[in-house]
Amino acid sequence: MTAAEKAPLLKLEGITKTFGPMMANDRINLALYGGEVLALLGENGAGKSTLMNIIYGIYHPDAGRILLRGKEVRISSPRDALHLGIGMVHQHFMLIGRYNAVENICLIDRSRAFSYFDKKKVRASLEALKEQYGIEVDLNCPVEQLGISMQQKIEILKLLYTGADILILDEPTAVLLPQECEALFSIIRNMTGQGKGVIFISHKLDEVLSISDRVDVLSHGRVCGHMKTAEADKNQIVHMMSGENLQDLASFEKKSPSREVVFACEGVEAYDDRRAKTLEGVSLKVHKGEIVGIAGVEGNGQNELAEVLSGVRKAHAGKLTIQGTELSTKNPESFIRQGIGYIPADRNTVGTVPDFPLYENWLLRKLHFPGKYGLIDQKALQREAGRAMEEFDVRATGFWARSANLSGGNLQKFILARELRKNPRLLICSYPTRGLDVKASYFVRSQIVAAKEQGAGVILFSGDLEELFSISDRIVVLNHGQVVGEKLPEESSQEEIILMMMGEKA
Amino acid sequence: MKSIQKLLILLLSVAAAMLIGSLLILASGANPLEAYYYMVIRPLTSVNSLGEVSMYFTPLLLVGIGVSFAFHARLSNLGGEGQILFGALGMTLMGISPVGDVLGIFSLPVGCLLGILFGILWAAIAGFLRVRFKTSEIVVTLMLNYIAQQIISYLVFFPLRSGAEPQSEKIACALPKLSSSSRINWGVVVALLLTVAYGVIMKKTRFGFRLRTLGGSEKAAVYSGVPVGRYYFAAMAISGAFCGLAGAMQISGNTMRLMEGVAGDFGFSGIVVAMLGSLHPVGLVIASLFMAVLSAGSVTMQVKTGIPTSFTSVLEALIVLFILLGMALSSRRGKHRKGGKA
Repeated sequence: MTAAEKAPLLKLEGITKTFGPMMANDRINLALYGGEVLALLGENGAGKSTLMNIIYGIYHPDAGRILLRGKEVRISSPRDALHLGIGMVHQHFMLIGRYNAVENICLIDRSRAFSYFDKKKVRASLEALKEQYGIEVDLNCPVEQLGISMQQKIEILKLLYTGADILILDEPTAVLLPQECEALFSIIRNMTGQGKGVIFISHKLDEVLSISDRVDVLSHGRVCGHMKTAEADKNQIVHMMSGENLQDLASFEKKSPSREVVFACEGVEAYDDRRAKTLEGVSLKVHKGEIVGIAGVEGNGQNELAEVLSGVRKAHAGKLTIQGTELSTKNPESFIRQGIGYIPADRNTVGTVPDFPLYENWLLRKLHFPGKYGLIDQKALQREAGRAMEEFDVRATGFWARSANLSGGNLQKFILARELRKNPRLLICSYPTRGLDVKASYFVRSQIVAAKEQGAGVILFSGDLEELFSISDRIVVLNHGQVVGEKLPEESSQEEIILMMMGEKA
Repeated sequence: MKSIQKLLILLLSVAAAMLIGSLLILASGANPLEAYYYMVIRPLTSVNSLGEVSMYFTPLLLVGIGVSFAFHARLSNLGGEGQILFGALGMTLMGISPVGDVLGIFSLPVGCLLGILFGILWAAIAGFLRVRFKTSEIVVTLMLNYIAQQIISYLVFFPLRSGAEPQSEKIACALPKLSSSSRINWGVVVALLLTVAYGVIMKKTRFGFRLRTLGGSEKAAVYSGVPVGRYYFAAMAISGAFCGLAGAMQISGNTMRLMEGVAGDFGFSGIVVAMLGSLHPVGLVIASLFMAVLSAGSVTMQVKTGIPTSFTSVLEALIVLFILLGMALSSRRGKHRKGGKA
């Protein structure tokens, strides 16, 4: 019996939700059957999160019906949703770091304070669930000591424990490595094999095509495409999502960089915030007009390296030079003065101050501001920010908008505009397209490529191997705070880089 | 939209606090309308009583500005009282020493500077510990208050004592008066000018911008090349400077002698001013005026209705509680709305 012949597990009819003048969901119809994976695709702001929050009881629809196993239900809180067998794994995990998996799950088990936890019983049923769905995770270790993929598994286990048979996974692979994704996919297959329905939200097309049975595409709050994965075609989906063709989005011309070294570091050592040594002698050279991609499993020193190279973190040892001038991490401002631009991985609290209006955020990491007698000329500042926002297509209600209210893509464009307007000699980009949709990612990449063509050296940290291959001139692999190898993208493959990331010397 | 919401929270907080206050007045057997009349309206009706209001207004505004500097960097200076006491000590030392006679009319500004310096010194302890050892400035500034109180007590009981009362000699340099018919003096003008300076610094200078960046997100400040430690220290020191000046003016414009309790409640009331004025220069002026009127009026109220002056502290505390409650509630609603756009 195929999935489509059964009655749907969950059915949405005409779901509409507005926020002020914005229509987040516009008469959305959707059906999820038991035993299938329904992928939900869409750009940022297409209305995916809103729709999921409606199903999960965080928002109430203005109109429309939710039918669960054929019966209309009203879901007014996440607790209701859990009762009805709907569970959601959020992008940010809802776990208490000091507790282990069993304790975390005990927390949701009973709502009364001072009730008695039967940890043994919970543990036994978790063990059974682990077995049943092939989930391998340590139940005894405090979750803060576990990796992100393990925490995700605990979240899934938590939902299975509550008996959820509709599971919503919100961009579950964004934080995972390629091989960890495989493990997750096999868990998902085990779940659908036992009749559960899974809604899988993602930006990554390849993943969607490999895991889902059907695909729904959302755009501007509406379902604009609806297909079986087996019959779907990548180009067609991208076109539906954004109205652009895949070819335009993926290809970048590569010009050979010059021989002139613009930036070099030698034997850089540094500690992370917990005072553990994370960089153990990193040496790098960046030429004029070259993009050096840095690949590595998350937590192998990329963040610290990006921070040291941009002057934000103190180096414990090593030498940094920009076109022959030596830099000291004791003086962060000198990095800015020497023309080093930095796009930090965290755009919300590092790249901008969330409570500042955009024109004030325009002043961050700037040494000069418009004005006389040491007083900032607000009008001139606003004009300057406004012009750049127009040029970089930053969509906001104006330069008065607080940066906390901008979407990820627009905020990233804003930060990019700020750094590129200074014509940096070296641009350091840390995960510049993380969490951005296809179109915004393309824009960011093309701006980085444009900066390189104008002669800037670029260091690109990225977790997206496709991105690294498509725009870098050279890929350097980092493992345990050391450079373990260097490859030219045209002479290497993603598989080879992954092996190097795992620590195999090239 | 955002600032209107904020204003609404502030006004509602004051209203709610006064409402609960009137229940307390009723409970103690007086008429709330009458009590509030003496507390809020009466002080504004005569030049003489306005002069009394100014005695509260100047220190409240100065401490309010000082606390605001710290708040901008997301530091809490609860040590206003100690810093005021030390500022007062600075002024007294100048005012009673023979050096004052030599300096003549310059002894007043020099005394103020000495008071500022003493205030900075006292606040800098907390600033230094915060930057160097990451100790909570909240606890340190609070504890330093008690130390300052004991030091001042010792000084007025022993080395600086003159006469039967535990207080210092009368100082030689007084703040000149603005009008002969009331106690109002030039301190008010200085405080208002400093409020303007405060507004310009915060909004229009690189220093103010960086300080606000630090308060908005420390990581963004680091990213922006701000020497974070130095700015935390500076915020604390400036905070202390304003409190120190408030102390110096308290001596030279009000009590004329160093004594215990010369700092009054200004250290904590200044925090209320900063919050009620939501760190905005105009807001600070309005908030200090409001609080000053309450404090000045409470004396008349006590005489006329029997409600003790400490009732103002109850009102202040209620206002702070309601502001915090309002801010917490509105930010929670804000978060929900933001989630909707994602």
